[in-house]
Amino acid sequence: MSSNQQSRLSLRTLLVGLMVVPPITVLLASRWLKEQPDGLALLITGVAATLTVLASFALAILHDRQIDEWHRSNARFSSQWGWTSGSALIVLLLALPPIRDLIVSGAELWGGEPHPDQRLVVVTFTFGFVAVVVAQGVCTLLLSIGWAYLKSRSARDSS
Amino acid sequence: MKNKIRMLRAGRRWSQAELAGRVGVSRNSINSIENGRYNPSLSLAFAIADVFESRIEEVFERDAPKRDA
Repeated sequence: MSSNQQSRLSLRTLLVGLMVVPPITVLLASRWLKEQPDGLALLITGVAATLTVLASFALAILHDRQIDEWHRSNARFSSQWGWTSGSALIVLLLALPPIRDLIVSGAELWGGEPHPDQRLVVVTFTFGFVAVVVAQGVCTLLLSIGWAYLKSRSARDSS
Repeated sequence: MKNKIRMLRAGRRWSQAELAGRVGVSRNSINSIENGRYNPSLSLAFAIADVFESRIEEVFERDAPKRDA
């Protein structure tokens, strides 16, 4: 393995670590975080979320630079239809009582609230899911407009 | 889009992996293009033609245009 490949591998490992470790740490420390002042808890979770998002962005850019057009085409196809089918799947799963029970028990476990209101938990979960879908839709639209603008500029504009 | 990659590759005794290495893409790309399951971009088609020291139209042949019924 060349030194260039080794450095890319170690960078990739570092980025994967930065993407995975912070949310797991926050999850494991959730009981401790609940005992901390709100400001501190918010700061720690905010830093963890920022690290995860930045690392995933960097990893996506690094990965995109290394793949060829066949893999890029594969990624475009699978992400386009993966997001759509995943969203549809969540809507279907939310209609199943065992899944609703699972969500409620998860909220009970991680939220620290015994016997939470089932309807409230499911509605909150659904709102969260809808927010993600809407945010993705808006970001997709904005990126599409930006891409179309950049690709439509004349040669004189880009010089 | 039809192509003569398999024939040209066989003539040079190149494996798909070897051709992929020469062009700078993955073996999956060459396999899919060779089997007509993926149409390469213009730049990749030129790169493939270049390694065979051929013109692009000697490697790739476009499908007959569809006619309206």
